[in-house]
Amino acid sequence: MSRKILHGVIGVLALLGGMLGLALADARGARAAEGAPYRIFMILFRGETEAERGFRDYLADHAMPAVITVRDLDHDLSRLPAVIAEAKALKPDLIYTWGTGIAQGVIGAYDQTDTSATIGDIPVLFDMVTSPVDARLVREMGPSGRNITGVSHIPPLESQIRAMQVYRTLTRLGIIYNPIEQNSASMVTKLRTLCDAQGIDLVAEPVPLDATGHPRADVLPDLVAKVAAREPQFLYIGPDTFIGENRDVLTREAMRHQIPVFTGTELEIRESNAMVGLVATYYALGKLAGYKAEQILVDKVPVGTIPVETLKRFSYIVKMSVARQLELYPPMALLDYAELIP
Amino acid sequence: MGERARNPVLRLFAFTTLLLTLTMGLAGFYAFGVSQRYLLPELDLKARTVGVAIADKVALAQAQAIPFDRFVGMDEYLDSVRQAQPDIDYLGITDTRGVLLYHAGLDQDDLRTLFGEENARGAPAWEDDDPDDEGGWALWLSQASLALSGPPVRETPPRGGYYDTQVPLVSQGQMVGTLHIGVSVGFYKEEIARQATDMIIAVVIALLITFELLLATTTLALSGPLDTLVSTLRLSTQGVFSRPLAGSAREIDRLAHRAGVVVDALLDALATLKARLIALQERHPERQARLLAIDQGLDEAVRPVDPDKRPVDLASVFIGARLGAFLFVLAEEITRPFMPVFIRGVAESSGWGQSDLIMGLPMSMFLLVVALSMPGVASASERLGRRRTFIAGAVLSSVGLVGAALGGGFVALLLWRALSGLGYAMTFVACQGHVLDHADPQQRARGVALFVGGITAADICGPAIGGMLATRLGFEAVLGIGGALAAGAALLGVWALRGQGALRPAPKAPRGTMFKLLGNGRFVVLLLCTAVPAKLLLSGALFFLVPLIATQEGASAGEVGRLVMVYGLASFLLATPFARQADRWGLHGLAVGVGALIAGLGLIPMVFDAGMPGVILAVVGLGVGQALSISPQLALVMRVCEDEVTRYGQAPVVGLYRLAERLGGALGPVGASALAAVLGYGGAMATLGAGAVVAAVVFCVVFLILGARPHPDDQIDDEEPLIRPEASS
Repeated sequence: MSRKILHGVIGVLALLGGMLGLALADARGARAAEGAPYRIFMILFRGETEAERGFRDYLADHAMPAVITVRDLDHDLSRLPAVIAEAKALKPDLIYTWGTGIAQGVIGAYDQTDTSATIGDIPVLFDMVTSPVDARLVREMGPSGRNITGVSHIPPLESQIRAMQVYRTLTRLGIIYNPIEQNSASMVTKLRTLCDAQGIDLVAEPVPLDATGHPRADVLPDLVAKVAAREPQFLYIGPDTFIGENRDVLTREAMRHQIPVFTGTELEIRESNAMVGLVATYYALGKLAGYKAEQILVDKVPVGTIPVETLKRFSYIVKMSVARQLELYPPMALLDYAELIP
Repeated sequence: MGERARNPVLRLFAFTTLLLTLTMGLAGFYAFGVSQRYLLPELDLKARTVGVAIADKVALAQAQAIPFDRFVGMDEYLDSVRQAQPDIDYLGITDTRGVLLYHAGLDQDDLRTLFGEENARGAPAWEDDDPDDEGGWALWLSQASLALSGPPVRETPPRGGYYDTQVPLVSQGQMVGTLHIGVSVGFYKEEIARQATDMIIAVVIALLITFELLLATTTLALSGPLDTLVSTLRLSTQGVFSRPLAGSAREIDRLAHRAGVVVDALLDALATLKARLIALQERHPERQARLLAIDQGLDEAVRPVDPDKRPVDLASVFIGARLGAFLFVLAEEITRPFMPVFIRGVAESSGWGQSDLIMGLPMSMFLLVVALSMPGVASASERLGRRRTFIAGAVLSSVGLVGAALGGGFVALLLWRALSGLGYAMTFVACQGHVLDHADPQQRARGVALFVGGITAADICGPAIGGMLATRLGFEAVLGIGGALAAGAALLGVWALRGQGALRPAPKAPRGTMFKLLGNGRFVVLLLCTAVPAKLLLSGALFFLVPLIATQEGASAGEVGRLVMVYGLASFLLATPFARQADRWGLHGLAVGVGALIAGLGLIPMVFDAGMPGVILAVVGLGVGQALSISPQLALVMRVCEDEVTRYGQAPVVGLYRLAERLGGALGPVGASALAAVLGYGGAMATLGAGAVVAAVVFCVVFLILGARPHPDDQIDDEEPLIRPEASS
């Protein structure tokens, strides 16, 4: 008797499930049939990176038909207004941007009054923005309330400090930064608060400016030597464009002084000689952006309700060649989860 | 003469028991010996598995060209491994020259001393130890068993009180060092003691079960029919001739048949004689007076049997009910130690895991179905017949258990448990009815006691054996075994519940009697403050929370089973003496109050995260407290409801009392799980205990003020089954 009821219940549930599945499949089919593939307009700073590969892979894996128009500024932000004008004329379904500068140009600050040069009516999905809050794209992380959403790539500073402490005891931390970069300056302020709270001595050296008001790359070796003299356990490289551009000089000099470099961004460790990094990989970030694109285009979730966020999990990377050279070997427990690269 | 007639069977029984005890004891002992032979290699293997993981890590570091003596954080890593493997006492890594590089568990100097003794082969450490220390008996047993099963497969003497397992650390085909994994001799001894306890319990339980089966088979096949035959023959010596009932064993059947032929021949001869007497009377009317006297003489000497007094094989009836009860209760009891844990697993895997609130539902469902279906099932069994009810019930139980084993999610589990509950109610009612149908009021007490004895035996054996099986085979397999046992009960029921008894329907109280009973304030207080809390504690704390907490504390299902068994043992050993004392002193109220207080108080330490000792205390408190209060409780009910019993009979009073108990039982698991959702398991346990204490205090205060209405004679006559409702699960 009970068995019959049970079978009945299971039968009804299966039927309902089947109907739901059909309905969903139908809905997706209807969208695809609705018309042409989704039109995505991509504005990039330095060509396609791993992030775009992740983005494209996500769309392909989820069978989202899309035509992607790519505009590469090739390191030249002055080309942006023309590209924005083109986007306005094309009226794509979604605009994808790479990096802080482009995002600022396309979206504008949240409290900007003149919106004539920015895009408001087309959903914008930004990727690879260091700090959307400091860049004034959004007031806070989470849903923007505007026609934008996006992905940030820097792990929280707290996590980065913890990551350094996992490797070795941290009592002094060095940092060299570009004082005229808004991102960097505010990051140093935050870092100082965190270090003070944990009794870590922060040695922060701003890069001096030349007569034209640009930071001087030529003094970097001296700055590293100055910081190294204080014997910090790590020299930290944060999301700083100027330092990022000079990463090779910085890491080389640090190694010469037997100071390991810790980084929060992927390039400094993969393509230069930082020893340890807690980073969001570009590929994973691109996939997260792809997921948001699906929410916007397929699921029709209102863009302003989709949170601006970063990854929940980051990669802990150890560059073994540097570790061996400095004879600073990773702790055994790290071997379980760290990615060891040559 | 009666004793003598039983003697051969008794002697046979005693001899078989002795033989069984010896063979099973020896078999257990031998099995223990075999496990002892392989114990050390097994421990070694376990240590080696851990060692391989560490060696892999070392190889990984070496592959990254990290120098062997420059590992960072190795001590901390080794310590983390040791934390996860509490049976490992130390871990140490030496290089090829034997220099200690990394270590955890013991400090550097101790390990250096230990490894320095590399070449000094010592005697087994326990020989230097104080022989009186813990585990001594188990070690002695272990040594003795080895004498029987052969020498240990490996005899590595411990060094400095530790067994040291060594794992080579290899990098690129070259040995770079050695990992030492130390397990203390103390742990080894504990393991031996654990296995010895397991073995003893297994043998004892196997004996108990064999004894049950032996008793049943002997009675059903041999002594029951034989006794009945003897009674029939004895009647014929008094001139009452009746054909003996057919027995079951072929020889007894043949004997009964022969006796029957003789009886028939005698009765035929008698008839012929009487016919001749009548013929003579007709031919010789003058001798009528004498002939009449002869006829009367014949009638006096040889009487046909009064159908009501025809000897019945009561022993077989009672033992049949006992066997049935034993098997169907055993089928449920073996799931006892893991049922809540199993339910939690099912809930988690079907996505209900977040809510502790619903964990109690399946167990409560079972108990609720038992409580509510009893009255309906009782009248159905009168129509259907006891045997058919029993078989149907056992089959339902079996299907329910097997269904639960096969899975299908939380909702399905609820339905399977409900089905088993219905089966349980049916089998219980059928066994009870079987006893009552056959027995006269004078014999009922004995029948009921035998029947309850079967249940108690299952209560004690079930959890322990179920736990042991679950540890080795897994929960689903034990549920399946439970299903097989219930199916076995159904098969046995065909044979064991034989015999056509006069159907004696339970007296039906007029509708509304129960409500009238609720007008008795004392009775209501008794129900609410003792009957309901007692069963609520039993199902909520012992059956639901104890397995969950003990499992959380790291106990295996086997250990949980032994823990639950303590309750059964306590009531088996203490209930009768306690009841006797309470009867003797007429202190039923006191016994009930004090028992309820003890049962509740034992749970309260759980609020302080008392761990395993707290759980053990709770179970012992519950066992002792309830052993003290359960029997006097019914006596007190009778005393409190004296007027009602006179007016409506005992049935509705006992019926209401049992219903209250069963509903309390059904409330237990859901109540406990609801509390656990808010307070955690320990908090829930303590809260249940506190609630029980409050109820007990209210009961005491009320009865101190109102009195229990003393009565000169509180012996109850057996109008209605005074069967302990074992329904639980």
